[in-house]
Amino acid sequence: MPVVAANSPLSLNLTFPVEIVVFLALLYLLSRYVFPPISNALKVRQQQIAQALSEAEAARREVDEARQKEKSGLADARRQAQEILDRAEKLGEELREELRQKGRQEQEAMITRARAELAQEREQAVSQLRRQVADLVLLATQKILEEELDQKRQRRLIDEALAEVDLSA
Amino acid sequence: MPAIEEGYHQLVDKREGRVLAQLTTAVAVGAAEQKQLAEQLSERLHLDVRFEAKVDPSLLGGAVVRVGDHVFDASLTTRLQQLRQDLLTQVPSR
Repeated sequence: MPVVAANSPLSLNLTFPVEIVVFLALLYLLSRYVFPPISNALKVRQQQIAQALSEAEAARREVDEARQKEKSGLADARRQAQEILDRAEKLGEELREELRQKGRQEQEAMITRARAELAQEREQAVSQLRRQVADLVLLATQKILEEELDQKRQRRLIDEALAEVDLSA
Repeated sequence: MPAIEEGYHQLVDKREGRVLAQLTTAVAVGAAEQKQLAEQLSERLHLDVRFEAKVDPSLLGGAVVRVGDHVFDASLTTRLQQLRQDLLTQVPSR
């Protein structure tokens, strides 16, 4: 066994048990009156931190959801706007086609009317020409008859007229 | 007056079984020819005919015979008008 000097910290004397008792008493007092409140406070703090974290997480989720909704809302609005544009374009095309069709129909109607008018004018011209020819033929025939009909021929014509008389019809 | 005279003649003709025949020609017909024509007409109609002759140069030729209410138009003017009508209604071949 090594020899320890009397003034060394490791030397055993009466203060050592007192120190032990004091230590133990301190320990007891600490564990009875100090550690529990500290422990509770630490627990409470931990709980608070946990709650705060949880709330933060919930808020983050809410924000995410809101962003997601906003995104889908924007997408919806864009889709609707595109649909409106598509419809407007389609309507415009239909209107253009309708106008083209109307234009063609009007053109055809004009051509038909013009043809009908031409035909009518031609008919009128032909009719007029026919009348003029007939009048000329009549006039020429009258002239010839006036010169060629002598008394003998006149008598023959009168006899022919009398031959047509028939009261039985 | 002419109408009364006409009416009187008609009554007399009816009573005596006669009929009035009016012949309108383009040229004048002599008295002898008129008599011949009257006989021709009487023979054709088997009736006693009171004959009247009129002249209308616009007929050109032929005659218009009126017997009672019947009119027979065999004048050249009418035939020429018919010819004119035929020319107008004839459809030309294309």
